[in-house]
Amino acid sequence: MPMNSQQNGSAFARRILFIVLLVAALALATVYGREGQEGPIHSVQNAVIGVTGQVAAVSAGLGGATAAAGNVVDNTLADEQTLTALREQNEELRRRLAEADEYRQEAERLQELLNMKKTSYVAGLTAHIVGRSANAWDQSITIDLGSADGVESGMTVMGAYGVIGQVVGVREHQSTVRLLTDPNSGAAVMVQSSRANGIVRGSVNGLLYLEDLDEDQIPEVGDVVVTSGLGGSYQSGLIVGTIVSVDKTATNSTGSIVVSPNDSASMLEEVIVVFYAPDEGAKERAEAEAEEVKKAEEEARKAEEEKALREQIYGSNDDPYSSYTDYGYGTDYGYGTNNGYGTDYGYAQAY
Amino acid sequence: MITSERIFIVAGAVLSVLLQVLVAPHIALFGGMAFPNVIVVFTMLVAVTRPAQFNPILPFVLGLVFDLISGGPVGAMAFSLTVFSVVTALFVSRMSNDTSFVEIISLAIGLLLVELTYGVFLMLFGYPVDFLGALAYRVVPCFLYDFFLGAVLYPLVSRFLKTSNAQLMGFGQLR
Repeated sequence: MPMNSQQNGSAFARRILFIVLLVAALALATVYGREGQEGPIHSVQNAVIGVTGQVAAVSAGLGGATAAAGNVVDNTLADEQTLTALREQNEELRRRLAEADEYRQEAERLQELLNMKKTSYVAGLTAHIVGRSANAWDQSITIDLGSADGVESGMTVMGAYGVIGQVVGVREHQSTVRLLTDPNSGAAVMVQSSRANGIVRGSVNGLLYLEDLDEDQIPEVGDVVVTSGLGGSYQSGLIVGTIVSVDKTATNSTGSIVVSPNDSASMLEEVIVVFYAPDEGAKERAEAEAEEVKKAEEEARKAEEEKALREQIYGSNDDPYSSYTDYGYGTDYGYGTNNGYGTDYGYAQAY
Repeated sequence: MITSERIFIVAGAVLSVLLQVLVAPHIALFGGMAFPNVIVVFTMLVAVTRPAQFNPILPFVLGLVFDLISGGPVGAMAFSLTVFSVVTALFVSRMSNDTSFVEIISLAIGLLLVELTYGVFLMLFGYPVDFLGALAYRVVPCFLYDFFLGAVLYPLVSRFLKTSNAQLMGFGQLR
């Protein structure tokens, strides 16, 4: 009997606890839904996401160390006789090859990003992806740049080939980027050929849909979609993707238009946070600047050739007149100083 | 009292959180539609393998941790997991049928209900998706992945928790 009453008491206490916990969970959810982004529960959540992002970043860095530790364990367990110099050398070469391959791949990825920056004329910082969402319902990534690097909420994030999302949460050294494929995402875009404005939205099935177009501006398959900058949510003029399907039989007035994104975050390790995107005349200005640089380089090359010619005419030393000018009387290196007349600068020798 | 069973549960809980953060995002399938929920799987495994001793604090805490690390509405998973892990434990306990079949079926139903309730919660919070879309593209794929993981881990968890519990209580069977 005492045992029974103890069990009954325990079961009763557990039921009370169960109800209290359910009420607490519902209360938390209600407060979370009603408070703003700056509310206390959101703040705690952001702090926790920051910590988990750092853990994820550290663990990503530990990948190489784990592999190295694995090699050490392998070597320790191996028969001593089998560890010949050749095998060690082979292992070393393999390790170096793997490292080189890793560096090569990273260099290629960074080169692609650099090319994108050059061709799109965007200014931004390259960030590493250090974490991904721990939840199927949330399509987001964590990058290793934060407010300390100048990142602000709302900035556009690009891969090597196009827009992938937007910064939605910023901490000191990390930021959360909501991907375009997230159902909560929406980017103001326009069809490049017709300049028709619309909105690209993510969806639960992972596709991007182009919506809110005028009925008389239905695009064709193959049309390119770029950000329009309307509403200020995304920088303008950045490529989003290509239209791959236009289903005019769908229920809404403009049908169902599917956009294939130019870039996918699932394959990326680095991204660019766009600080500045060009206006309409930026490309022309950049080309004019490049032309000026080219001219200056050409002039410099001609000057070098003239100098070389003068050297051939007057001998191996510098042109005496220029020597006089550069190192002569009245200058810093002039007559009567350590570097002056009759010294290394060869005024006397030239004459 | 600190028992090996409690140590196992605490260690398993910590490990499941780490796996959720570090590993789960990298083993998601179909572009992230089928996403393993290690925290839910572990909690439900504990619920079905030791139903009589199942304490609602475990699902509440783990659900809350999930809410905090996943960026979803705080309280949603805590509520879903607490309700259905306790109900599942109660069901298995009432069945008084210590067979793996009952436990695995209960595990499957519990996992599906947790994923479904969490999805409904998100929709209530304004997640822009219709019910069928959520069911087809999130709830069912995630449930299938969870159930696969649960079925794989069930022998391990079941063996450890039932053995340690039997030793602790001094008789051959848990119930």
